Amino acid sequence: MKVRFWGVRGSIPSPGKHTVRYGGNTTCIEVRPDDGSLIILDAGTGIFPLSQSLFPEFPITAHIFNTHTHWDHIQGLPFFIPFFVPDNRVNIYGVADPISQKGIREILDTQLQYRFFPIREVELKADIAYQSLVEAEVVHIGETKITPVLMNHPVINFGYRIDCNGKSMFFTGDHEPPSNIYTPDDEEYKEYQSLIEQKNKGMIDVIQGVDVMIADASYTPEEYEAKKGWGHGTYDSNIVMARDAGVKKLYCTHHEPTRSDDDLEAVFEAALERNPRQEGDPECFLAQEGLTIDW
Amino acid sequence: MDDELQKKLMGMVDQMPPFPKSVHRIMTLSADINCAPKDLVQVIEHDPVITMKLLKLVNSAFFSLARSISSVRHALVYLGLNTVKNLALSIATVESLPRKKTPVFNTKHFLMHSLTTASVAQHVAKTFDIESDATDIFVAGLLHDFGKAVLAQFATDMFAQSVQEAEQNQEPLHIAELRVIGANHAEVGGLLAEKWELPTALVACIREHHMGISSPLGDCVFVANQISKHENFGQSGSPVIESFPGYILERFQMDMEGMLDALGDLSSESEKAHAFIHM
Repeated sequence: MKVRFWGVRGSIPSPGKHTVRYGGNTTCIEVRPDDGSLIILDAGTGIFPLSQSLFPEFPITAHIFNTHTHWDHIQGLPFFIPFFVPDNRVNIYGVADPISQKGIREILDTQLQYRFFPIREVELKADIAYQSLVEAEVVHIGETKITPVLMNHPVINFGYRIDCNGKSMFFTGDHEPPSNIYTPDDEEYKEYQSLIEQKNKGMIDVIQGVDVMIADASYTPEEYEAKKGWGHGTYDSNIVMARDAGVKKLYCTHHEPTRSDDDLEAVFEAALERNPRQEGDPECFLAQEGLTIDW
Repeated sequence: MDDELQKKLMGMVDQMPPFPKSVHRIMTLSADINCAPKDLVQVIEHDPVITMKLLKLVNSAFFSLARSISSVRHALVYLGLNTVKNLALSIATVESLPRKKTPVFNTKHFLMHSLTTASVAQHVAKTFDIESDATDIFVAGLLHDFGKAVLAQFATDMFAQSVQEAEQNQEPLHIAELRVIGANHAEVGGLLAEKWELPTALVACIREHHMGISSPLGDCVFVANQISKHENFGQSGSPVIESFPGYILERFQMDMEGMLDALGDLSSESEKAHAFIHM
């Protein structure tokens, strides 16, 4: 299985000299399981350079899995070049919107409106199909199995576990560990806590034992205090989650857009010092644009 | 229940109007980005129509969640605050029918009966160590008479006649409903809850609350329902306080008098519900 990062930044693209090492594009991850399928996790601005790398393979079949529909995970989608070339096939998967009750097709339909983009969805040349997913309903592509896992974010967000040929990976999309809305002196506190534990266990059970986990680690614990409910995790919360799930390697991504490369390395180093690695713990890394994991 | 009535209820219930105060409070709270999640949850879980619609939606095929969602808090942990907030907002603002006014069905009295049944049922479960999640018991108490709100809205005249006849004959309302409408509120509420794929224990509790079928959850709600009437917490529309049947006596080893002693002062239950309704 091969995984390549094309966008590791959260919220908004952050080009410039201070982010040149880790990269400024928003979330996009290319996954090539052993069966040769092309799976793309999220369509942040990183999908544009990814799509240029695909020219030699045309015509292609690409499977784009959207974790959730916030801007930074869809803003590159209209610039996915394979859309404009005949004989390519693009399958787009993701969550339907419970408020509008519209399926995943709504992303492109909305982005490609006259006012926002010069080309309409019906004018795209590739063969495009849409599939709205529900929790735990496995998608089979060749020999690859993709399992959507309901995470916690201010919009419905699926993490995806990908399994092929005995190798596995998991991407959280954006995720904040659920926290108790009550305080310990509220009588509702204990029961709510048990619901949270049940929910956490459900996530851990699906993630269990993956070779690689890519996770939303936007904040340090200090920063998080002012950003509770924004829907993102910390380095520390992800180290704990990866440890609980018996993950082998953890890649922290969704880097805070104002964080420079030097600062990023410093806060990550500090997180590793706070959480010294014990036997059996995951190895932890920072996700970096252009980095390829091959195993 | 005849097919025509069943069809009518199924088709129209999506347009059930939520209670205006809850709508107002949800709009106000959700306009404040810093609103405390527990305040929003409190409003949703005190409105039977919004709770019912929320549970209907989150348990629907649209979400196809791997597990059945049994309470507002449960939905919050699974779907996240912002999604629940926006679902509540869409329920609160959906174009609904105007609320039918009938002198026999006073909204505030109905809410008071539902809320106190909910909180007393929770109190009973806690006092007697009945195994069940506390919020599930609250939800069951809150929704046990949901069928009455539906009948009052969609079979207004027949429901009004049932309440009047029950009063005249001093008989339980569900008996009069059966005679006048051809179905009682428990059956109607149970049918909708089942159709909406609500958790099975909750469906059973709503459907069976006048059928003399024992279950831990159902028995807590039965007792709370009678106590709420006995203590004149709001009005249920039924003039009869049913005495404890054998299976209730067996589970709790006491009659109504003993139960009232065991539960102690219930004024805080009534005050909390009253404060909420008149907030």
